[in-house]
Formats: sequence, structure tokens, C-alpha cells
Amino acid sequence: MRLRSLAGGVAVCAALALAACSADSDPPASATDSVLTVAVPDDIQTLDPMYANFARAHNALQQIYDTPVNLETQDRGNGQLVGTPDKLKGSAFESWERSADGLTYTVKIRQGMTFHDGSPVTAEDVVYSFDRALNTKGGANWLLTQIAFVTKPPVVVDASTITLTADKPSALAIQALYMDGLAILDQDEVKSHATTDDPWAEKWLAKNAGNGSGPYKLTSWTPDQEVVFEAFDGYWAGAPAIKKIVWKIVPSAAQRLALLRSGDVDIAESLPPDQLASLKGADGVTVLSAASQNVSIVGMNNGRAPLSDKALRQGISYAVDYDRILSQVYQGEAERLYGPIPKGAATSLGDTIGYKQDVEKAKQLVGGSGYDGATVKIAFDNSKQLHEQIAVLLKSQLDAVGVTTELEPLTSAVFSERKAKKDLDMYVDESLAWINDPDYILSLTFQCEVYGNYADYCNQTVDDAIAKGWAMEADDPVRVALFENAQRALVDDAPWLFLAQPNYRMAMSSAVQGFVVRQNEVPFYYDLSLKG
Amino acid sequence: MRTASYLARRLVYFVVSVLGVLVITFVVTRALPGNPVYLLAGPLTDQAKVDAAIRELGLDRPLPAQFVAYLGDLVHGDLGTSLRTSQSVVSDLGSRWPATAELALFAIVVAVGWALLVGTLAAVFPRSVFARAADFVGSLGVSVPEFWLATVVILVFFTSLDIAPPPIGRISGTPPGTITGFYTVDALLTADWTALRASLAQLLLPGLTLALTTGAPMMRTAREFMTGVLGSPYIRAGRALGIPPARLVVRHALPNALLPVTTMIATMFGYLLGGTVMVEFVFAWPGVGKYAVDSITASDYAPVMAVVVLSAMVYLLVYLVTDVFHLFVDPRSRT
Amino acid sequence: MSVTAAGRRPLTRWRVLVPAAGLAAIALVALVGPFFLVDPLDVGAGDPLSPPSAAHLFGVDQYGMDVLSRVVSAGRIDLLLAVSASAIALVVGIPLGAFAAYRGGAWDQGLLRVAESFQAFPTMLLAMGVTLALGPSVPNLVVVIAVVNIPLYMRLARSAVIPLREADFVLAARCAGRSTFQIVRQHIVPNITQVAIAQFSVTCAWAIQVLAGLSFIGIGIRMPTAEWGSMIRQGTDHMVTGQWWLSVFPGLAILLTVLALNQIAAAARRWSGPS
Repeated sequence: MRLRSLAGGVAVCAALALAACSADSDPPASATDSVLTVAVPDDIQTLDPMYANFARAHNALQQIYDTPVNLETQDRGNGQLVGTPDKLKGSAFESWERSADGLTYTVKIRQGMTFHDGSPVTAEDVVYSFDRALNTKGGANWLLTQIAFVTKPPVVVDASTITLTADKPSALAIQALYMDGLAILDQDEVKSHATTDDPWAEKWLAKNAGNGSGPYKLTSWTPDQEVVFEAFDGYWAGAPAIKKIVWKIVPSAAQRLALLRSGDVDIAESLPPDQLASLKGADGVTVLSAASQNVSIVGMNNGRAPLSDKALRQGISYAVDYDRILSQVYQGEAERLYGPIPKGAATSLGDTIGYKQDVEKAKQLVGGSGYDGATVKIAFDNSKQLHEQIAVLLKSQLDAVGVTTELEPLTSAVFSERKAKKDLDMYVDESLAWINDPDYILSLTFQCEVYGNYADYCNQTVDDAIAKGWAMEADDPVRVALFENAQRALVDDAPWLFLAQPNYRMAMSSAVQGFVVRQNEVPFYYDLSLKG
Repeated sequence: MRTASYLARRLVYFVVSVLGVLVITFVVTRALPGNPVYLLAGPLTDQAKVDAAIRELGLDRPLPAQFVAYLGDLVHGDLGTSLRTSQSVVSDLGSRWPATAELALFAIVVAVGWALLVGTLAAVFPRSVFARAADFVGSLGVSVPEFWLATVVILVFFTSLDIAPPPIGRISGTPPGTITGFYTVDALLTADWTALRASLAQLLLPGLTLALTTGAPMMRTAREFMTGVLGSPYIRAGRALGIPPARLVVRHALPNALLPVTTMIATMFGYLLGGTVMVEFVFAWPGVGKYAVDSITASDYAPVMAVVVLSAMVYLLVYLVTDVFHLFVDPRSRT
Repeated sequence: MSVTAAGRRPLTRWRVLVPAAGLAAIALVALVGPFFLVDPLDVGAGDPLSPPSAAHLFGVDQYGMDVLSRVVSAGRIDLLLAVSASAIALVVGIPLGAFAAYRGGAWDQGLLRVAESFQAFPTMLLAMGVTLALGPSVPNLVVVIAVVNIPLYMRLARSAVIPLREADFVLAARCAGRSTFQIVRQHIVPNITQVAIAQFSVTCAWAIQVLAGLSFIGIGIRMPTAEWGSMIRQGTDHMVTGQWWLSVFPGLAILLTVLALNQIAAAARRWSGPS
């Protein structure tokens, strides 16, 4: 009898299971529901705008909070919509005026903005947000003090006006304010969670969506599984077209691709080039592709042997088979990068400078340098497949010109630590500058002694250009000449291997309309609508 | 009295083992290279801020001091904060353990079901085609790499045949109201049939993959044991007395298999709670195993310690309970 | 219904010969194969991502490396690693366990507790943590796998020795004045041989699976060195776009090797061994 009842139980389970299988999973989102489902690779790291450093966090924060300014949508002509910080539109800052000496900004605060709970956005809230950015130790602090040269919070003049003062003039002061690091916070809400040990409520804001004024509210967060945003109908620029955004957290790129193909999601983020290639001609799926200023490089340790030897670095620069990397790693969906300023950023010299593969010259330079045959380690973050591919190809190319190399895959944490401590020989990396301006780019990566200068590089010509460039107008010919010189010096010194500018690509259902490729390559869902 | 002293000794050993686990785990996780602070800081910072963050986290103090601080926190139920998620480890684990437990329970139930069934039948009909097939499946189940099986299963049933739902976690659609945290149970309790179907559908692939690899060794043990039991004198006596074969198997042979099999189930469950790592990783199942792997590669100490220590403790606890259970149930172990 | 009187399935020659031959074939291919095949690290071996063909029996991977030669060369590494790690575990664990069991008392209990502590760990996580802490080089991996398995051999030896502690021939040997060491070596160790061989085979199988698992997650053997687990990982993303040969062949290799090892273990357990 026991055996029979066991068998019966098994049969019931099997029947239930089969029924579950054959039933449809939830039908894909239709335009009438206006729900956008996105497959994302990972979860939100922190909800504190002043500390966010990873794509998912930026993505979430950009929907929840408003910033002082935003990017104006430009039509590149071929239907491609982009947003760059050299063309701004006001958000919380309705308008602003710069004083003649460039040190004072008189700002009109937009009236009628409200937070998600209905309370009004006041000038005091704006001032508080700047104050908090200055008093916390995250990226927002850097933006204010090192890019805008602002070290004091703005001053309230009246309910609709504030003045912002900088220590030194900077052409990029207002541009820096489009980033989600300068989110406008509700000071009452945040202060209510502050404690004596934690006066800026860092612990609370890290895991809670504060009262924002952005187009979406974060309504549900199931860790490692799902995040849900709902439209804020009281948004100052009008209610969003899409009422609900659902993020499905799917770490495997292959599965994100499968979900997009089957219609279970509308957008699949971060798909590698070969998977995107397989979507060519797929029904109902578009692969958006736009030129990008994201640079793919290999940094070299200029501060210690053997790569402190310029001739060796130049030799290596000639040894690289750039075309093969572009075609094999990026499937042809990338432009060649020739120098430190990518094409598309101001003052870029494009392809008039830079290295092309020349194996004979490479061998000559390597042989003539002081290189003694020591093993050069090529380090990369082992969670990044494309970087691994680059490293593997690079190894064979360097071995061919007489440089002994070894691959060094490292976990993300170890990679970041050793890179910051300048303890890597060569490292595969990529970097996206959120402002397409040479001062921003170079001051972050090539300025002597700066933290982000992982290659340990120092050149007075470059530092000069950086220092002088801040105060000048962006189109000042003197400034342009300064930075063109700096680029030539950098290419000659070859502190990095300048490999590629991979296109920005996003795979989405053809029903998704209005996607704007922003400089920081973080989607802004307010722009989107779903075609029926 | 002997029982009492045995129990007391067993408890002391348990505590000693747990302490051992704590020390070993602490040493290993602190020796994990890669200070998580650098990864989290990003490029828009300077060395002074990074050093301040390290000091704040107490990561610059000598190891013994850190260990003592850790023990102190443990006693207060504070397992630390995950730097990767910005949440407390306790709440991180709290939101993830139902996923692992549900998967493990499902897998164990299915595994025990098929293992006992197949093992018994193979023991009863040892030279049949069925027995040979059982042999084959058993060997396969023990030898197949779990992560590869999981990938192949997804490829075959989802991508090619399209009969399984997409492996995007525990449920596609709205989860049922939370009562226990187990989606299937909650769906039943709230009579939410859509959620029940959806969550069962998601459980199938990872659960069956686990059930195959967990059940295979169980099946072989059950079969060997049943074969031994079936050849034993009292069974042969039963046959001689004319007791029908089915009754012999179910009423007399099977109960004797219970003891070793329950031991196996118990230790399997304890192991599964920490060992679903591979399957969770491939299926992106938001459980404790995946959390542990993500934390290890991010050098996020607190979660790694917590998961390893907790799984080890569960295992030791289960071991302790089974030993005590045996003591009371099996007359032979009392000598 | 038929139940054999002895209650055990007979150990036919086939049960031993087939897996042993299989394993020998695998080992032979792993050892000798690389001499006849293309360099597994050559990125110019073929067109990236070409399917299996006459020129490339297992196809070509995304870097342009020949999958067949990589599968074979990975076999060499995995088998060598598995065998050395298991050998260390056996050579260290058995004497330790036998010694502890023979001595009894505090030694026995102490070592048992230590073994239990190690066995309580979710082994995958422990292997991961230690590999990361020490660095994923081949010697380190050997040490990790060996250390995790030593408790198993200790318990094995212990359970074999305890019943022998009071056996007549042991008492006789003690009366005759033999030292503990001699008794253990001459009388006790030979009785464990059969079980030890079975366990050795199982440990090798386990070692291969753990190594593949670690490499699959990304913290085992480094690229571009061929390893079955890392090959599967790299192939996983390509399965969906149809390039199945990247993952399927290494997976089959693991399956067959581990299967052969497990079958040998099963056969060894049924072999009666020296009395």
C-alpha cells in the first residue's frame, strides 16, 4: 500500500509539473500595459547618489532623482538620438548666469517641482544636496571640488535664486552637474535619518531610495532577482509615457539574449559583440549601435621596469595587431582609438596621430631598448570576457616580437586594488569619460600624481595644458592648440596601448521608441515609449 | 546515565568543531587578497579617502584584534555588512535563504523519491534491463559535472525545445504573498494558483538537475543496502514462510533501509544548503550559494564568512541530531 | 522475484576491465596525444568558431585554438593534478588515521574532531576561498584538494583499524615486542589496501570535478592554459548562439574520465584483496 500511495504521489507531482511547463509564462508586455521589462546583468550596489560607482546604481539613481541640469536630446540625423554635456538643458536649475570672472553663478531654481511624496523642491533642498556632496567622500565630492572647483555649498538668495561660487574658473562647472552624483535630495527626509555618528545619513541612504523628484519611484527591490520602478505622475516635465519598469537580474549574457529573443524582455543589457551579431535580422529585435567615447586600452606601468623604458612601450605599441582586435573581439563594431582623446571629444586629433601595426619596427624598438627579457604580466579583470580575449591576443602578438609575457587574470577586487596601487605591469581596462572634454579626460587619467593615473605617468606638457585649459573657453584656439600638443606628447610617450572605441550597442525590442544614447551611457527611461 | 554523558560529550564536540570552523574560515577569508574598498571607491577619489575608508572598516587592525571584534559581533547576532550590496549580511541572508531552502527541499524530496524507488526496484530485480539502466543512470549522476549538466539542461529544454520557462529566477510574474518565504508553499496557502504554477515551473530545471546529482549516490546506497537486506536470513525465512514478495519488500526490507538512508538524507540536506553553489550560479537562482560566490570574487569578507560558517554549523548540527537519533532508534548503537 | 543468496552482484571481469581500459585509454591519450596534435595555445590554428570538421575534429574556439588539442592537453593537466593531490591525501591521511585509531584515547578523539571540522565545510566554498587566498597556481590547487581530502582517508584508516586493535594477531605481535610503527605497517596497513584503492579512485574523480568547477567559476587554472572547466565556461555563452562544440566536448571528457574512475572504485570495493 505504501508503494502505491508513493507512486500516486509521484504521479500527482508529475502532472502538476507538466501542467506548469505547458502553461504560458507571463505574456510579454504589450503597449497597452506600457510596462518595460529590462534584463540586467547585476544588482544595485548602493542607492546613495554621492557614492554610486557602478552602472546599475547609476541607472537606478538617474530615474529616481533629478539633477541640476540634464542633457539636451540631439538628433544625429540617421535617427540616432544622443545627449552630450556640451549641450545642456535646465532641470532643477531653470537658468544660470556666469559672472565675467567665471567664479560666480547666479542660478534660478525651477518652481513647481515636487518630490515623490508631493512636497515641493525648494532652494534649501538644492543647497543641502550640494552640502552633502561636499561633506561625503564619494565621487560627487570629486566632481564638485576637482572639476567645478566648488568647495562651499551655494547660498540661498531668495526662494527661487541661489548663488554658486567656485575657487577657480572652470569651463566644465555646470556640465559636471548633469551626473546623478549631484542628485537633488529632500533634506527633511534625509536629515530625519541622520544620527550623531552618521550626520549625513549615509547608512540609510545606501539602501533606501530617498524621496526623489525624478520621473520614477523605486517601488520594489527583491535582491538578486528583480527591481521595479513606477512612474511619478507629478514629474515637473510631465508624466512619463511608460508607467512601469521591471528589471530582471540575469547574470548570464546568453540567457539575457534568449529572453529578448523570446519576447520575455524588451531590452537586454550588456550583450557581448558576438551575441549581438547573432541578432542580425531577428524578428522584432533592433540592435541600436552608436559611436561611443568609451575607450578600450591597455595601461602600462610607466613607473617601474621594464615598462618604464619608453622605447619598449613604443615597440609594444607597434607590435599590436589592432585590426585583429577590432574584428575578432569587437566583431568590427568599434572604431580604432589613436590617442588619449577619443574621436567625438573636443580637440581630438582622431586618426592623424597614433600607432599602426609594424612588426619589423616593433622588433627593432624592442631589441634596441633596455629590455632584458623579464616576464611582463598582462593583468585583466577575469569577470570581463572581452578583456580576457584582448589579453590572449596581445600575449601572442608580444611573444612574436620578443617580449616574454604571462597572463594574470585577477578577480575584480584584486584587480582594482593592485591597479590603484600601481602594482600591475600591463592591465587591460576601459574607461568612459562622462564629459567629452580634454580637461576632464586628462585630469582624471594622465595628470601627474592623480589617483586615477594608474599608469604612473607624468609629463609637464600635459599637466600644463590641463592647468591652463580650465579657465579658457572650450573653442579658444589657444586651448585647442595646447591640448593638441598634449595629445602628441602622450602618443609619443605611449603610456597606454590605445586600442579601440567600441560602439555603444543595446539590443531591444522594435517596439521600444525614443532611446537616447547619453554621454554616460546610462539609459534614461523617461525618453522612452512603447509602440503598439 | 551513559546516554546523558554521551550527549554531553557530543555537545562539547559540537561546540569545539564550530569554534574550529570559525577560526579556519576567518583565517581563510582574511587571507583573501583584494581589499574590497578599492573596487568600491572607483577612480573619482584619492588615497586619503581610501585610507580613511579602510580605517573605518577596521581593516587595518591586526588579525587577532579583528577576530575578537568579529566574535563580539557574532554574539550580538551581527554578521557584518556586505560592502557589495550595502545591506547587513543578516538581511541579505534573510532575503536569500528561502530560495536556497526551497530549492534544496524540492531537490531532496525528488531525489529521495526516485532514489528509493529505483534503488529498491533494482535490488528486487537485479538482473533485469531496469537494473542495468539504474546502474547506468546512477554512475552518470555521480560522474557528471553539475555545472555542465545545468548548462546542457537549459540549452535542451529552454533554448531548443522551448518547453521549460526562462531561467530568470524563482518566478516570472508576481510572487505570492509572503508567509513562509517559500513561493510554492505561500502560493498554496494563499490559493494563488498562477503563482503556484509559475514558481513550480521555475523550480523544475534547477531542482531536477540537483535531484539527479544528489539522488544518484543515494540510489546506489539504497540499492546496495536493499540487496544486502533482501539476502539476509530473516527475509529468506519470510520467503520460505510464503509471505508475498511485495509485502516482504515494503513491510520488512524497506524499514531497515531507513536508518542509513535517513542519515544520508540528513547529511545531504546539510550539505545542499551550502552546496547548491554551482546550480544557483548557472540558473541565477537568487539564493545563498550565488551570494557566496559573488561575495568571494568581490573579496567581500563578511558575507563569505557568514555563509561558510552557517553552512558548516548546519551540517554539524544535522550530524549531531542524526547521531542522537541513532542513539535512540538503533538498539545496536547503544552498546 | 529473484534475490541472490549472497546478496551481492557478482564481480564479473567486464566490470573491472571496461572502466580500467577506458581509464587507461584516457590516460594514454592525455599523455601521448599532445605530441600528435596541434599546439593547444596556437591562436592561429583555425578560423575562430568553426564547427567540427575533418581538419578540426572538435571544432575551433573563439580565439582560434583547436578544441581537440585543448581537450587532450587539459586532460593531462587535470589527471596529473588529481592523481598527485589524491596521492598526497592518501599518504598523509592513512598513516595519520591508522596511528590515531591505534593509539586511541585523546589522540583519536582530537584528530577526529579536526577531521570533522574540515568535513563540515561546504567543500566548494572552502576550495574557492583557499584557492583565492593562496593564488590559483597548480601546486596550490594540489595542496587545497589534498588537504580537503585528508580527513576522509583518516576516517577510512580509523574505521579499518579500530576493529583490528584488539585482534589476536596484533596482540601477539605486541607480545613479541614489535613497535607500534612496525605493527601498523606490517599488519594493519595491508588490510586497508582494498578500501584505500577504491577511495583513491573516488578522490581522483572528485578532484577533477572540483578543479573543473573552480575553473568554471573563474578562479582555477588560468587562461590560456587549457582546462576542461574554463573551456565549458567560455563555451556557455556560445551555446545559445549555436556553437555547442565549445562546451559539449570538454564536458563529455570530464564525464567519461570521472565515470571511469568511479567504476574502478566500485569494482575495487568488491574485490576481496589480501586477507
